[in-house]
Amino acid sequence: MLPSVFATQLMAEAGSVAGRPGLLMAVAVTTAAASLWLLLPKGLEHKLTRPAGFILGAVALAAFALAGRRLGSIGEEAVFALVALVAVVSATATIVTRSPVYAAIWFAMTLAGVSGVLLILGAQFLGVATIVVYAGAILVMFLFVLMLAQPSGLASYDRVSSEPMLSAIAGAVLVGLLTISIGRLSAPVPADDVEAAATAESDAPADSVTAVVPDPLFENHVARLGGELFGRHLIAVEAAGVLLFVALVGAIAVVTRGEAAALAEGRPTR
Amino acid sequence: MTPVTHPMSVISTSLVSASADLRRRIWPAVAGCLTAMVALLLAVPSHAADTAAVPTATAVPSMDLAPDGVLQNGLLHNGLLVGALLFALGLVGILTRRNMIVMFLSAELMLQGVSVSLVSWSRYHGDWGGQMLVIFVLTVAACEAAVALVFVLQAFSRTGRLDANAWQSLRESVLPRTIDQALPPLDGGVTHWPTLTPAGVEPAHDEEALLEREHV
Repeated sequence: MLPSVFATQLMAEAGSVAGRPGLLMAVAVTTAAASLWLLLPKGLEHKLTRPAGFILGAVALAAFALAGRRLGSIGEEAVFALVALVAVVSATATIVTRSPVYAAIWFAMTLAGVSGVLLILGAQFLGVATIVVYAGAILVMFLFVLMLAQPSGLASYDRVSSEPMLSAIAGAVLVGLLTISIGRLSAPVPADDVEAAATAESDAPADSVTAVVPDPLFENHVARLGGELFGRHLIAVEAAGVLLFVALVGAIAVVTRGEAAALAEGRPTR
Repeated sequence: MTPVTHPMSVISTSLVSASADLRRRIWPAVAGCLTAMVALLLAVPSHAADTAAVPTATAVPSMDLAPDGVLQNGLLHNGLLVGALLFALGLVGILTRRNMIVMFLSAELMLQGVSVSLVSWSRYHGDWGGQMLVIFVLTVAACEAAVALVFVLQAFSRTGRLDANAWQSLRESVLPRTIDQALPPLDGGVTHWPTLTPAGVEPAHDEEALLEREHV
């Protein structure tokens, strides 16, 4: 059967591609750039543009997932893949969706995914704070401004974008260069070091390259984080408080001066 | 008396005209960038294929060893990958979208990418530095959103649009202006919002009394 032959050939190809991270990443970033370019609003669109963008985006996501490193257990990998998928797909939807209200809601979904990634990485407090501070406060502020300022219907400037192809290529080049440095960073250790590590920790398995050690920051996480924050970084906390206060005063000052100027010029105020 | 030209204005004018010139000839540069990046990616040693074949001299030894001697870079690698993707998506959004609110959402997206990378490093090194930095990133993001949204509202009250290109008269005069083409009407037609069946009889309103307020 021709399809099955083709499928096996495709799987073999995929396997050989998966064995070569450089080629895999090249495929991933180029398909991601093409998908972004297809999905970004351009005003005039063929009806096949968005499906093609979705397919290319799925290919790019699969390539990025194959390029990821193995974690300790299959369950951990599955959970990480799920939250990372939620974060990246929602981030893409944030920048390609036409309606800014939907963009804000997709950004809330991104925050949920990012919070999951932070929880997996052991930052419990930051995972919760991302939801509470970002999705609870900052995003609601964005939505509030949108409701104040959004004209009814889809504005013309939401249906076009400036230089979508150049921007997508810029993003692809950035991801490619970052990936090169990440790949160099986590190149495999020489065999001697692996043996040394195995002898240092005798009960560690021989293929402990991918073993995940317990998080040293796990015990009494929030208490120790608070101690660090209000101990070593106390002056920075004070400076952050001053910054928040100045931002508050500045925002109010700009609004009131704007209203006064509008009154003086005879423009209508809200 | 001849007008004195400030050297800085000469420099800036020549820079602007050079960038306008570059804009016309940008496609070879773009193609070169993409080709160079793909070539660099292909030149990355294929360490996953055959570990033994990689000469030990080219590997980076010390970065893979956590303080307790157990190798763990899977989480670091994946976290940095997710962070890079989020950052690049935010970059694309801020470069290409024209709605100022979506541009700010993209900036927040870039901050999220940086946060994920910082927490990955914090986990890898087992210390608090990255997480502390992320806490202050949260603070600065809140301040930035407050102040920026005020400016967006001011800009909106002046032009009636959230369009960043509504302010293109602030550009240098040599740069080309963006001219929007007429867009075809949306094919979606009228949106039908869900409605609820009315329960009971609506009482009569006094419109005047509804508009009055005792105090502001």
